[in-house]
Amino acid sequence: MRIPAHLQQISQELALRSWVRSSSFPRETYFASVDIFKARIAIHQPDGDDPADSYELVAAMIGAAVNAEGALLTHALKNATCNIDGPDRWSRICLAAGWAVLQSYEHACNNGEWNHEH
Amino acid sequence: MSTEPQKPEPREVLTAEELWGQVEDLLEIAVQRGLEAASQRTRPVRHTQRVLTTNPQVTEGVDDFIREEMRQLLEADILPVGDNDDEGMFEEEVHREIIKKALVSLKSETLRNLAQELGVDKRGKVEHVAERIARVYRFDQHSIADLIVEHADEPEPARRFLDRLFPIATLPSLQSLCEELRWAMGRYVRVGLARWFAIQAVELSDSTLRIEGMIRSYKAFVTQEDDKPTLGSSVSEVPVAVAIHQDHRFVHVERADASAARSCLRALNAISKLGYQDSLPLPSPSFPDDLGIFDPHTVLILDAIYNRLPHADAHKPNLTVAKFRMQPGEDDAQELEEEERPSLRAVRFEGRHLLDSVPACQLIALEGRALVDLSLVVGVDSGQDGEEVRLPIRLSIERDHLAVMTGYGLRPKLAENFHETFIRLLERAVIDGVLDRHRLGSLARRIHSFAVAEEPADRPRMLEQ
Repeated sequence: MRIPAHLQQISQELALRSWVRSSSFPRETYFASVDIFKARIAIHQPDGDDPADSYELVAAMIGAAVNAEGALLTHALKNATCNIDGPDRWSRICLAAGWAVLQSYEHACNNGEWNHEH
Repeated sequence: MSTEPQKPEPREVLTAEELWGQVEDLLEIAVQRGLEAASQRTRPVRHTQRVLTTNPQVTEGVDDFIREEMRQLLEADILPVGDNDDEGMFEEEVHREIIKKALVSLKSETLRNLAQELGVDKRGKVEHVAERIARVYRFDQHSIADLIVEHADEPEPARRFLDRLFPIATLPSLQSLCEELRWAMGRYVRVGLARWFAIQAVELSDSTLRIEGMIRSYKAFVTQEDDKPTLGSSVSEVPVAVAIHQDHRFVHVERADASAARSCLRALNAISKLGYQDSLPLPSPSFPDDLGIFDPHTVLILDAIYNRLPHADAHKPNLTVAKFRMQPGEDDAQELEEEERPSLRAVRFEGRHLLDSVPACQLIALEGRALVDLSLVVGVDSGQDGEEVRLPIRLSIERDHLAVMTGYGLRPKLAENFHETFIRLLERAVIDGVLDRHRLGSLARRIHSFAVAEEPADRPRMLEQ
């Protein structure tokens, strides 16, 4: 799984992977959220024949969570080079953050650092 | 008591309201989880740096954006049924479906490569791939149109220059031709079964004679009227434009299909003894080397794309569709059909860099089949900061003429200039034969060695040199 190309530049500009890995990031809460989101999406997508669409949906939900949390804006402000010129741009930043969290979650699952039993 | 939500029966169809309900449900959970994450933060928020923003309300509207994103994703798996009263919702759905349909007009392979370039999943049905690509562009019709134009492998009928080049036996005097054709203006010349051609305008200027006319043809059918069968007919009219340039041995028929163009030529020939030839006189010198095995049609096309295209400032040809004629000629094929024997008349290859494919090279070099139709994409210098514009072109050798099509690409004026230049080069190819015998011979050797090679090419290199 990788961040879609059209969001990769945003991800790099804002160093979103580092943001997700930082000690202040509530990693466990977000990973637990991913599990919850997946379970909820499975209800609405009974077929579940295309995991790629589920990834996108989970990333979008994490994006909404990140926006509600508010800490991403603080992080963006700390990255002085970031240019946020409207809601559309900010929405894409939130989506890119959603993907960064999901990527980190997948990595943790693959390394045995996280499973849904948490 | 279990807190796990109850899983409802799978449903393939939802009302639009139910779909929105699902989106709101998911969004609410997401926001709740975000607020919970905020309470887990260990460090206070500090605003210490600058941020460039023209809109202080940047974070407003994010939920709408994500709501829409989620709705589109959910919609990919279910079929929402809109309310008849909500025209706006239906129009939006129509808009999205039209955009997806336009995208699937691209070849499946092209669409999947595009998805890969954009970093979205390229797997699954083409419809789903198109949906993912459209989402990247937020279903913006202008961006999608540009994308399609840039990646079209063949010229689109509505956005292309099309000329059919009919060779004529003698160089006509444009002045006397003009007078002869004006005599027939407004009259109908029968050119086939229930088919007529009428000249509507003849104009001589700048060493070019321009003729505008109309093909009128009728379809006939049996219909029912007052309990009795009777004959009915429907008429169709196709405008045709013709240009004959001073000292050129070709008549150019613009924008018409092959049948209309032929009808027009027959009518003009009947009025003015234009010297229409019902077969294309291909140069067929005897080559002593590998080129000698190649069919004259193939030699003409290879000469056009390998020797002459660079003279039209076109580079990096990528052959996407190639059609080979498997029977010696249309008449022979017709005879075989009359004998009711199974026959393969043509083979069509689709892909990328087709001249680097072993089967195509075998048909050319080992079986000597006629390559009669070729679509390719070329890069043309725009003359602006080294920018190169991608143009789809198609070259087809018909029984009695050459058809040349050039897609508009993103720069129609540039495409028009290229088209005119390429046409002149093709005319010379028919009249003069191979432009650079040595260069084409080396290409023929590569094609032949490729045809007998055991390994396919790891990267396209056939047309590199």
